[in-house]
Amino acid sequence: MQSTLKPIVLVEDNPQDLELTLIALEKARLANEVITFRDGAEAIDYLCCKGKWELREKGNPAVILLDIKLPKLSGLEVLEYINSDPEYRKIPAVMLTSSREEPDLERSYELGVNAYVVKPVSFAEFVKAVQELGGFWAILNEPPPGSIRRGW
Amino acid sequence: MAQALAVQLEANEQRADYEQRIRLKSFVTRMLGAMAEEDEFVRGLTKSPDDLMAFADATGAAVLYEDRCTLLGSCPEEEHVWNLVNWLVEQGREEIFFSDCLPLVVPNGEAYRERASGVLAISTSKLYRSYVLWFRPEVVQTVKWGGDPRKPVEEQQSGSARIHPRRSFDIWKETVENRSTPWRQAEIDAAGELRNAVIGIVLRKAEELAELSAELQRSNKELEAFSYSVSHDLRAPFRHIVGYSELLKQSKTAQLGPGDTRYLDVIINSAHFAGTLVDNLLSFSQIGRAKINVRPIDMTALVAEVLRDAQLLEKDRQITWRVEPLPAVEGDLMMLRLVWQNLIHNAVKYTRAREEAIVEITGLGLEKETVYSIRDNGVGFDQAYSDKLFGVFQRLHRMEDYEGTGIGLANVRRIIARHGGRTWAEGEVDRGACFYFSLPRRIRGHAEHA
Repeated sequence: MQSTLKPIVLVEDNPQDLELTLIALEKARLANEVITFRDGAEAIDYLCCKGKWELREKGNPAVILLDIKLPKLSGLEVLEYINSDPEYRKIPAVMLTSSREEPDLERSYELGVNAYVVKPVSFAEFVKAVQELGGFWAILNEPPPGSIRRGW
Repeated sequence: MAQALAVQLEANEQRADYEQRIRLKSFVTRMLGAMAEEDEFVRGLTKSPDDLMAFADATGAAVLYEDRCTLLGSCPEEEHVWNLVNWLVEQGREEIFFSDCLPLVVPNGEAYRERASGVLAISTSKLYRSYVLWFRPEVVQTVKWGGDPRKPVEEQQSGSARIHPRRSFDIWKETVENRSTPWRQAEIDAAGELRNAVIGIVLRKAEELAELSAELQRSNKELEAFSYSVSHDLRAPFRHIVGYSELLKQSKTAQLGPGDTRYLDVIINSAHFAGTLVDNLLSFSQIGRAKINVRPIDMTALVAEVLRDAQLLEKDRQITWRVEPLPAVEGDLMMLRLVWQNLIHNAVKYTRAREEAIVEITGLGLEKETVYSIRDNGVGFDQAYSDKLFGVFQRLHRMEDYEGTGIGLANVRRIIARHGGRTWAEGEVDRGACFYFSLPRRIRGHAEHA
């Protein structure tokens, strides 16, 4: 079954948040492979098969989970990049962030974000939120045409 | 001889004029000093009415600034003064205007000719109807002329006209009405000088205001950046503490005794609470910065809506709600909903020791404001601390008895203040509390810097 699943891309710079999100994804029992990046620029390199990702198999991830505050390129800038490209625009993007600030929320929706999750303080709630997101974007959603299923 | 007399007369007149100019200069200096002491220059100008009037040898003076009109001494009615100023604006007399026969020039001037047949006016702003006016009363004079200036012409039978030398030089009397004593050039010049000085002050004030507003914008930007950073960075560690503590609690390999689990629970609860504090503080700061969207609000419907939600949460409690029809008001719907949510939530919370809670909500439309109140029969509070109630993170009850972060009423006060209204409370320990807030009839969005 794993061969039919596209990976989940997680962009998070904070190591604790990264670990907790990975545990939450695991607890949510998502079978997708999770590829992690620590800043916005790395994530875009991956998407565009540039730099060290030059030789990766083409295809878009199932979903991109983005923190807003990131080194180099922020989550909003990554979102803007994705939104500006007709091919990448099809990738579901989710903001997974600390910020309750309204301007971030507004800007994210302007840039075509599919969901916006303010990380709750409670870990149990966070697991639940990730579960719902994962269930919706990684498993139930039909992959948009053009995304190649990995088979090995 | 005659020549010598003429020279002497001229010299006398020049000296008188010179002395008057000196006197007027000292008036201007004194008035400017008084104005400089006040934040609102008009207050300085009207502080010593005698100076202001004596300056132009007038019996009345009016100072118009923004929407206000201050009348000093003997003046036309305020309405007439505004009409006169409107007429000046229409005529394009925007710098200086003077007349010693006002009733003959200005429409409806007859109405106040006794008090103001003469006027000297200077405008003190190009943008607003801002004027200083001096008035002089009508001086009815009987002037004796050496002859009738309209020479009586006798018609001759021949058809030609003839002027009779004797009759032409008969003493001719005329009563002059609608006139005041004339304005002297020195007075007019001094008024112009005063005008320049006042405009200078107005300009300086405007510059100071612009500077202040730039400063304010800068500090608001800083505040925004600060709260943005708090929102992102301060919440994260609390989230980590809770996350890892919960993981430790669930861990199958950790060997935790019953006491250890309690320690973990305390850690989790405290971190949770700290996270809530951060969130509440952020919402408090957002309320201070958010724009107010003023529109008409049906308060009765709004309270009913908030009550419905509150009742859903408190199904097990016996609460009697007495809600009167409430006067409508203007304000920001989202913000006023938050006000009622906080007040109703408090009423429910602090009555929970009562078998039967009673909550009364009333409203009263007054001339300038609308006052709303919510009264409960709960634990109340000591009136001595009533002002502390509305402070940020101020609490009058122990955390074990009544939970909360102490931000609710601070939000209420801030929202009402931003609408230009007031908040206050009455209470007695164990005998209930009553919270009031007022909203002005006309809302002017208030900037918040508290």
